[in-house]
Amino acid sequence: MIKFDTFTLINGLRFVVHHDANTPIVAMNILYDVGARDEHPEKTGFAHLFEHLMFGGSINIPRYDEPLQRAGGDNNAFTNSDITNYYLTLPKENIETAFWLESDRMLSLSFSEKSFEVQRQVVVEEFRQNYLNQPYGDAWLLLKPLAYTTHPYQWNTIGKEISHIEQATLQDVKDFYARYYNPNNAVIAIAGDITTEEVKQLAEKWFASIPSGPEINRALPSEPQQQEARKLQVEKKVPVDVIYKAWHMCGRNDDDYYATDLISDLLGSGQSSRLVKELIKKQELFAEISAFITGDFDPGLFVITGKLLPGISFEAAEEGINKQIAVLKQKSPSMDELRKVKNRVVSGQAFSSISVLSKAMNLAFYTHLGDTELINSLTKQYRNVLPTDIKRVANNIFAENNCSTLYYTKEND
Amino acid sequence: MTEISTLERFKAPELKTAASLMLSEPPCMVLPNGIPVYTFNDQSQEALRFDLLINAGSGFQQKKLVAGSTIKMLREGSKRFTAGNINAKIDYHGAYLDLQSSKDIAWMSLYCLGKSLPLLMPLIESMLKNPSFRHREFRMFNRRQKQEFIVSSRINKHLASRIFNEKLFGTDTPYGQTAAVEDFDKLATSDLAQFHAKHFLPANCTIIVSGPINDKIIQAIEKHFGDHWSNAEPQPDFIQETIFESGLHQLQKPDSLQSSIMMGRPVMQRNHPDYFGFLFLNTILGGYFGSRLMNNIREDKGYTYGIHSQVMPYKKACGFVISTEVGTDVTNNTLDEIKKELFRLQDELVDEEEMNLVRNYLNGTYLRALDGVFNQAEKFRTTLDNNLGMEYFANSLRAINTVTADELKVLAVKYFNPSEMLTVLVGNLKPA
Repeated sequence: MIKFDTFTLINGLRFVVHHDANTPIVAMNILYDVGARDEHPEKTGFAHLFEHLMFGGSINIPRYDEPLQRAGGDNNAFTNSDITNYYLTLPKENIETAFWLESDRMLSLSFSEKSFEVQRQVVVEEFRQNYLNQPYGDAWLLLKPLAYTTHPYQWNTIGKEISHIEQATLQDVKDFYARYYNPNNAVIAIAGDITTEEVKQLAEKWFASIPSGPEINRALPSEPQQQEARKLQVEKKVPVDVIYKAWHMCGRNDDDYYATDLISDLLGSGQSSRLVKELIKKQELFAEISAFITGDFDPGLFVITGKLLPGISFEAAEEGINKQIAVLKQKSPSMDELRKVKNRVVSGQAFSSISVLSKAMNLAFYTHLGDTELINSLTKQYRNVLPTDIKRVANNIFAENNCSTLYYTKEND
Repeated sequence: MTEISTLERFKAPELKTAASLMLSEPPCMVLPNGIPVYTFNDQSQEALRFDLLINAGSGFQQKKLVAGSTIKMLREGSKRFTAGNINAKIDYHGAYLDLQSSKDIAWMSLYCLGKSLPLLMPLIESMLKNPSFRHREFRMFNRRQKQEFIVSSRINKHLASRIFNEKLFGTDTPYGQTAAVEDFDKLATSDLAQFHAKHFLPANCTIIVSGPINDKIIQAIEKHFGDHWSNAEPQPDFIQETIFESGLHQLQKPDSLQSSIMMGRPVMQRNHPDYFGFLFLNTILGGYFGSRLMNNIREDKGYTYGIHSQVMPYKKACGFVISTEVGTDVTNNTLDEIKKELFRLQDELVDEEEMNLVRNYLNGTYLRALDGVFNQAEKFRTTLDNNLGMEYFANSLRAINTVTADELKVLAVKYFNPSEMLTVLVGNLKPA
């Protein structure tokens, strides 16, 4: 049981505090409710580029990292389709440094031309390193626009193409900041040997004077129901054929989210999962195979991807996957098999409740979802899933006309 | 009314010295067969980690790939349990089993709830003592490994690190041996069985447990791992005689958008008097986000997404490496800038402000690295190689807080001469 307190400042900034006296480290996580889905279709990759600029100095503090390191701290951040998340840990004695740094970059950035130029180039190199200069690195750049025609999830966090990043202007950055980087659009979670009273005092001191920003009314276009199967085949210089299949699934706050997640575990998590047992070990169609969900806030994707063994055709490989899906649609799993994947969730929770950093990250994320208590009730949500739910949800998701398939083919040498 | 003072946002809050950690040696129990069991107990958590380390790393192998394949094949079936049984049981308990090897050791790491450990011990015991190395399982396993190797061979970073490893330690030495794709075809189950019989002995094992430890867990460990399961005599340790090849080694990959750069050399081992000072020096150069290399090559020039330097401490030799991936057009500029930074450390004293910054940062890093029993167990494990003991961390902290700029300059002169280094470039390289 993870205990926590919550409070909200007058400017709308929400705080969650978890007291853990067993560690000399304190963790702070700041979640801003903005992600790649909020980008303009012609200016993609922006939320992530912006994350880089958040380290380029704020209005009163020329550099973010240096004072934090001087306080013995460390930090990082990530951006996904839904959120931009910043987190740091430092010795508890120096927690005020975290409030000082984070409040200043919430108040205003320095918008230095030099930092902007350099970070644009750094992100271009990141794009090359992780997406273009790697075998299969661009698979998601191909798969998402195949699966989504309308919703902004059609582009990846890194952006549709390098030119979008190269063409970004400092004015774009300022507009983005003014709209999204405001106290009423953020959640701060703190975990460590610090009391709620202490956090309240520091929060009032450093954050309360930051003015709120405009309320954000998202009107994201929803993805229409897919009407027919979509297929794409590409030929590239890769050593092995790979198949990707993606089906539309429900959003993160939907009741069926947990059943869907368990389906991905039944199919593809662990060496005893169905796809591994049947398609790798028994039928010898794949060298590797996995099933997972994207876990996005809006309706996301259920993905199965596998590396084919040499001499296996795409048709045979796909037929193998489809047969396993057919079994899942026809017959509910046994209680035993379902218990297996639920046990995995329970032990996963036990491992993620050890470090103050993972607790702070989870508390901020569940608060953002609208229910901080999920940090304790999550396992119950999974436990409530019945074998018949698995069958029902599988039938909802796994229709051929709900599926996008990518054949990533190796060029003949 | 109380007076509200204006907030001076440009002024950093006063820094305090963090309480330092005092770590004593963990309790050690010796099983009847001589295996030491080290325990890091914390009843406040449910999660437990069980590590069984075996002196059976790739340095011991007579044929490439044998050490890594032997430990990984333990999952594919034992005399008592089929691969299917093993995986079903591990998954049922929500556990996770990691089988890995390095140059020095091989290990089985089991992550599970404390209550599940006694139930999983018979399985781990059987895998460790009586693996079956069946043909069909091996054929599939080896094919998978080979395919993975082929895919990773398309990644410049991996190609560079293979070349770097060979040139750093010597191609035919235990540490320098590097597998090629043909080596997968030369491997047979008999190689694995022989390697297992020779090295998987009580005298070569160490156990470390961290988490909610109780009598039941200790009894289970003693019951399943305490007997004399093998009569084989332990093999003599291998000898690493490093043959270092400095200079430039290039591999042309015409389609690349980026070049992978690795630059480095062998350095002193962890029990050498220069070691802690060198770690400090490495941090300044490229060991953290605010390092000189990051500041220059990423934050000032934007040539790369990241550039790092690190010390790789193995049991019998130690390497130092700078690594990065940069746009092909700036490969030579990057090399020039790296050299500039190496010379700057030889020519100029690090000023007090930077010394302080790195000192504080490293103190914080230690606090984080030793936070919680899992981290402590992990750190303890790294001390076993050279019998350093937990005092290693106290000594390291002392060195961090006492090393001087003058000493760092002497170390830079001694170890940071670019002409004594090995440079590996893989990518689309234009003639210099």
